[in-house]
Amino acid sequence: MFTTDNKLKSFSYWFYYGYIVLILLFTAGPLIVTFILAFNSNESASFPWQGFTLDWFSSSTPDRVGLFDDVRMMSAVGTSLKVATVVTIISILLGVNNAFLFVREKFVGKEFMYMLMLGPLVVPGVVLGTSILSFTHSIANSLDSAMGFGAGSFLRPGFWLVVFGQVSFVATTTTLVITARLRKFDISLEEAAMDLGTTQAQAIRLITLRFLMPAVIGAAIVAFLFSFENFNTTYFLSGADNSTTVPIILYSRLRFGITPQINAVSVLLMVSTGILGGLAALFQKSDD
Amino acid sequence: MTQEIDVSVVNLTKRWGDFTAVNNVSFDVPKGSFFSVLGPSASGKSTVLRMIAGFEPPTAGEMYIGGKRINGLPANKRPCNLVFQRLALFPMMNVIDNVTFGLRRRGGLSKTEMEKMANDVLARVDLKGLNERKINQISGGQQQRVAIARSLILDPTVLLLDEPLSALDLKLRQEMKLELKRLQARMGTTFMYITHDQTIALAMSDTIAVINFGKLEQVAPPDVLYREPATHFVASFVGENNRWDNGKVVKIVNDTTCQVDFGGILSNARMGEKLSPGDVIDLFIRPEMILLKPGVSKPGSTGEIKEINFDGSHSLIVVTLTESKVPLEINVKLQHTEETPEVSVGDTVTLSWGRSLRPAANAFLHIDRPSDGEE
Amino acid sequence: MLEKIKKYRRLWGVLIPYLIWIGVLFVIPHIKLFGLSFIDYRSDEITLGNYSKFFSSPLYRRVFLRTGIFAIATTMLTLAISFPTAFIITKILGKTMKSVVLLAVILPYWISELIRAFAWMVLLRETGVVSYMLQVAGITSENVEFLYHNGTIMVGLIYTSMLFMIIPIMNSLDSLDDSLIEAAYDLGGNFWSTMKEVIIPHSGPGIMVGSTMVFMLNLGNYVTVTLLGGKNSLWFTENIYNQFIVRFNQNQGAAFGVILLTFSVLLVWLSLKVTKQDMAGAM
Repeated sequence: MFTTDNKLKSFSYWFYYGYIVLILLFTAGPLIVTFILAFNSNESASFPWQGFTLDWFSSSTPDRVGLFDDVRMMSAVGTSLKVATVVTIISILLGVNNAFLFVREKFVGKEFMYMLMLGPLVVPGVVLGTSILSFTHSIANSLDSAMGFGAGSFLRPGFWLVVFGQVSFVATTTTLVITARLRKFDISLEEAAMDLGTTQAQAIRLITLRFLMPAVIGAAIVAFLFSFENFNTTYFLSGADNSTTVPIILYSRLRFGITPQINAVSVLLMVSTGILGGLAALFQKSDD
Repeated sequence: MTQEIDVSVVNLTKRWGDFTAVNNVSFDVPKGSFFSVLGPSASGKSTVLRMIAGFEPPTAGEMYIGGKRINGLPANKRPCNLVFQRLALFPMMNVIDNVTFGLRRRGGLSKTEMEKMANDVLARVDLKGLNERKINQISGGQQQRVAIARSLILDPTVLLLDEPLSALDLKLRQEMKLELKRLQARMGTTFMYITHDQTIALAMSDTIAVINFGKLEQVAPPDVLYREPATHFVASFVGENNRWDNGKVVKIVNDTTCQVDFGGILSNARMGEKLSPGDVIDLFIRPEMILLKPGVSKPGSTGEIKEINFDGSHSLIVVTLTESKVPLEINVKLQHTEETPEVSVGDTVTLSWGRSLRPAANAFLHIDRPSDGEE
Repeated sequence: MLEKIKKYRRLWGVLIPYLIWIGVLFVIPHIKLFGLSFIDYRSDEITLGNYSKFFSSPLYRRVFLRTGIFAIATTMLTLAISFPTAFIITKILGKTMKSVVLLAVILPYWISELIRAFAWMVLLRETGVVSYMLQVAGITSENVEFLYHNGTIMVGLIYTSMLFMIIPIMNSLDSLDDSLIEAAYDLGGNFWSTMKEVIIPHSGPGIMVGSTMVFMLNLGNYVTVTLLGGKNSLWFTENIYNQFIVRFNQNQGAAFGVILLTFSVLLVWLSLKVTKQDMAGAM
């Protein structure tokens, strides 16, 4: 498009494609290397190649603990799944609720409320985590002193606090996705359903929610991924083992050193997020 | 003979704050008729429809369907169904599921019974073999029919249609117009059709109610509406018309006719309202009712051809009247037949009108322009 | 009347869940944080001490300044790398290549930031892949440590936030009609003048949105910086973490949090204001 001269054109094409190849190398390269090294028998998680192995996934010799045989790692995976499931359910409910609030209702200060809704996504995760921590800490203290020790324990760092902390910003994401979809909804579809004999509640259930479904599923996948991979906020809010998610345990291990087992975990995460991400993209495509 | 009335609206009013969208409107829709509500955009016609369908509560007034008062009934309990402007077909369902939607809400029918009914009604709107298609996989005209079938399957006392043709392109609109009329005649269901498009209303309706600024202007069959407009607005909104402002009533000829004067040119006109000599009036003359002869002859007014716009079956000719003391121009619609005289720009011609039984000109008390319709 | 009650009931029905969420999990905690920052951590008295400590301590000031400068510099670098990428994807590549490249650029961002930082550790640490390659190539004979440098932090930050620059710029370039570019050429423009006078001004809003997002992400980053920069990465978020978790001085940590938040909001506000004026002037 930029030049009509063929020689120049081929030159600029080389430049454009070369640049894109470099960018792709930059974005995908490190992940590909990490992926490959998960199957290298070399214990230092580096080259040279010492043969293909699945030890880093499954093995329980003293010096080689595979990911699936690592009790603490597997329990973190379980915790992450549990946290992500609960966070996703709450965030989807909030997202649908907020979409109806911002698309269907009129009230004073709506624009301000909308800006406020974006807040949790804008504030750095560290600040969000610490503010929730200090708030729940003081509530838990007063609950303890009012109702006896332990009454506020669900607000101490742990499973529920991690869930609450993640919901704070994941719900913003689900709200954005579902609101965008609801804005595309032609309200006369709901009226048509009522005209054909439904109550308003039935019309919303049969028509509107069904219309929102692709966005809800897409948002659920995104919410699940966000929750599963979150570190910044979770770091402040997780306590004992029942709230140690995969990113938390990975971070603590990375500070001690790198083992190929972490590469194996990475492979697992890459494959599963790849599948989920692909699904989300698919659902977003069916949105149109 | 008294006609059965399917829809009756009495003193219907809708206000939003200071704004009156519908102002004290009353009319009856005879059973089995094609009834149109015609008005420019934002005239309140859609609001009337939405109140009857049950999506807006009226501020005042009564509404009856089949003799039963429907005020306060929710939309899903009213014996009427609505075909929406943008059709509002459910995009997540296929054709058959759209059509059986209402039946499924009612319950009490087996799946095969519902499908049989759906196929029947789809056959009646000439739509076969598309049952499994998604809504976005069928054409605009087919969508139109699905929307109508979806409502008709519930056997409503009256089918309300909110300009469903306006979404179609011109050619399809012309086709669907005739088809809709035939369908209504075949089904015998009362149709109440909302539109801003007078050609559609004139072509399809048994009765037309013209509404402007929330007020009912006239309720009449199309030919009456066209020839004998009851108000200044109807005369200017319905059909093409020449409009001459600020004439004077010279004398009253008989019960219906008066003679008016524009700068020395005298013309007979039907009185659209009660007039007396000396009244300042606006005159509306149908361009196709004017007789044009080459040369100078009597009776008639002479003029000079200023413009000729050829349009196939006819020409629209702009004539400047030379006998008038005030500048007067008039459009003449000249039908092309074997006997149509050949004329060209600059020719002197004689125009005459108002000599047949059909009124060519209508006179109303003068109104300033801004209240005109969209025409 | 009944209508009205019904209407308000519906409004409150959806407003209350929203208010609980945003109130309990966002607004009140931040008010609490703000309040805590004015309380002395030993005596529980109201004080400005937590803030004066920040301004009087050269260490905190230096870390803060360093974080700010790095965040801005990294944002600019990210922009420099991302703009050509976005331009090539939207305006040069064909339809198929476009979606392939786009997918290849987006997919890595679905993967946890932690894993992405880890991938760079695999490459850059002393016994890592790059060091090994250099030795194989004979450029060096010893292990070379690439981690824990300022440059490494920057590479990591660019890597984690580049997509948030590319996407907004792509969106604004997408809305630029190709015929405008052709018209600029037709009227005698060359590559650079077309870039300068047509393409870059048009993508201004996208550049602004992208830069703002990337800047905020850089400023608030913790994982990438601490993993690639090590213990002495001297990033301001680390101070917040240390005060809360290591020293149990949440009042001081709160003050740092408020400072970070104020600074980022201020800069974003400023940049929005400046560009809006520019845009108005350009019209």
